[in-house]
Amino acid sequence: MEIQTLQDVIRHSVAAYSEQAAYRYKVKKEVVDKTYRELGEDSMAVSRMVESLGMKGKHIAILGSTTYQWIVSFFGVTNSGSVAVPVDAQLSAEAICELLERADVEMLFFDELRADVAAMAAERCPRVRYIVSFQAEAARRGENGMGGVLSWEELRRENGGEYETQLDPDQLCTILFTSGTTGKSKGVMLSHRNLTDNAVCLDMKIPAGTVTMTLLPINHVYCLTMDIIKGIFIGVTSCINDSIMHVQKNLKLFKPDMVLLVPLVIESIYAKLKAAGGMMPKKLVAKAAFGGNLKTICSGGAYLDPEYVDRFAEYGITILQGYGMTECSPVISNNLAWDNKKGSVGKLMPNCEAKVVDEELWVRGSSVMMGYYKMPEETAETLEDGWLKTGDLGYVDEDNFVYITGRRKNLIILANGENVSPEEIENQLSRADLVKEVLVREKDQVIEAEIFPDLDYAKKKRIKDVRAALQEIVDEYNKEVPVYKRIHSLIVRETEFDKTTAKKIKRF
Amino acid sequence: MFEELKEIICQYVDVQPEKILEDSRFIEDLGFNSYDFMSMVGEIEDHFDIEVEEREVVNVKTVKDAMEYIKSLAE
Repeated sequence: MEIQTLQDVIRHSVAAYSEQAAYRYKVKKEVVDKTYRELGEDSMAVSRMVESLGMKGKHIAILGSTTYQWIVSFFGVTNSGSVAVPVDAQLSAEAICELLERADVEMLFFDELRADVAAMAAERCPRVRYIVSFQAEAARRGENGMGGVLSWEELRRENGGEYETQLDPDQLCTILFTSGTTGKSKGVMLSHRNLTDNAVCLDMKIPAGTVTMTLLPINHVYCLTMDIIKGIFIGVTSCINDSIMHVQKNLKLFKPDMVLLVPLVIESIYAKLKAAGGMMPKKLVAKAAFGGNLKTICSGGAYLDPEYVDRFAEYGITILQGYGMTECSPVISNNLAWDNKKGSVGKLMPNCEAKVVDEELWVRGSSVMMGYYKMPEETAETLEDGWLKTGDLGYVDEDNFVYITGRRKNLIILANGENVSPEEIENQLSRADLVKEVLVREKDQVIEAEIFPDLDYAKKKRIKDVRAALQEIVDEYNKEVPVYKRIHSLIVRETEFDKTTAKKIKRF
Repeated sequence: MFEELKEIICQYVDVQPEKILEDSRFIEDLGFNSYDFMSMVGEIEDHFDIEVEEREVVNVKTVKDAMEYIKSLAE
């Protein structure tokens, strides 16, 4: 069977792994399994729910941390021919509502932890017609002025049965927001083919029944493609980590064979392993920390110091470093246990070709995005004749292994895989009258801001302690943004920044 | 509680217990990264037998904030 859409992925896996556990997670203190058959049935129920509400083909946002319902909803939405818009649950309600508007969202699935967003969307997003709660046991009709809050569970029960629709592999499947260098986040449009080819085209020789644990944010494409879509395709049992607070505990509980991590977590786990070591043999230390089965860690999202590959090997664990970006669904290259080179971010994926233009890496293939949603200028700047300009400097060797040597764009890539646009933060801070010039950068894995204050303004307003006033501006900004976007240190300049001839602040 | 908390903190970051003050900020002063910080909160949950809400943790910036938060949950 040819796999070209997410519907093909689900059908293939329901047939191949039917009664095997697809997902495993905790409900209070109990561990619950959902089989591949149930995953297929529940995702079809969501497709039918979407169609019965007249939302087929519309844009539907999914908001919350990783849960079985989130995953089922994603497949239910996309397999009905609608467009899923996963949203970062860490953003403020205002920021989420802005994204819902920009992505033309007409329906919202939400986790009650973000009831604030549901309430605000009902009031401020006129296009949104249905709001569905993952937890509500019954619909709450009178809750807002637009038909209330519907219950996901109630709708799922009412909409049981088979579902099938004709999907074009090249139709829009999902819009994923990513930080843009212009300061405004961009909606990356990915088709069914973009995602399925990325998940399916490389055989990593992972046997069905392999136990994995998913702990990365699910609105990020690395998690979505590699943990979820690829995981389902190859028939893993994926254990859902309920909170980043419980990673250590859940590793011991679920005993995964394999996990996908970002460098920040890999580095932290290594520090703990090292500290816990003492005189104990390293493999025993690893067994105590990871439950005893962990053999493979896939690393992505940001650059990992290759030294960690050797360090983890001492504990009997193989780290496979890959490279990608949201615009490429995301994987561009990947190291494999039997085909890798130290210092390289891996071999090009079979569906991807690369060339180097003025030192910058350009890639082309079936996983390159359709474009940015409603941003033709940004799309034209990034895509040229099907080639995606990665913004990374690097080269490809004679064996197709990719090496990254630097970055062309200003984007800050933190070790947790989050991308932060310095311009976005600079624009926000510049709105304060006291801020004349500002530069934002990464320092020791957190964000630092350097500000040159408007001293005339300070004088006019009789501000005596300029530093304290600037810190207040920074504190106000920090309150509104996710933790990773917070400014951790503030430098106050006494002189203007050096400028380029175009009067732009010199970054380096 | 302060002493217990200090002991837990020292398992996650390389800092002398006597350098940890009530006003110490986890990230800026004690050198926590976001992942270590959240892992420590998980450990605090077990140690003090409380259930923490992930979204509320972002308001905990100093050791004193943590102690007040733990007290509020234990009540």
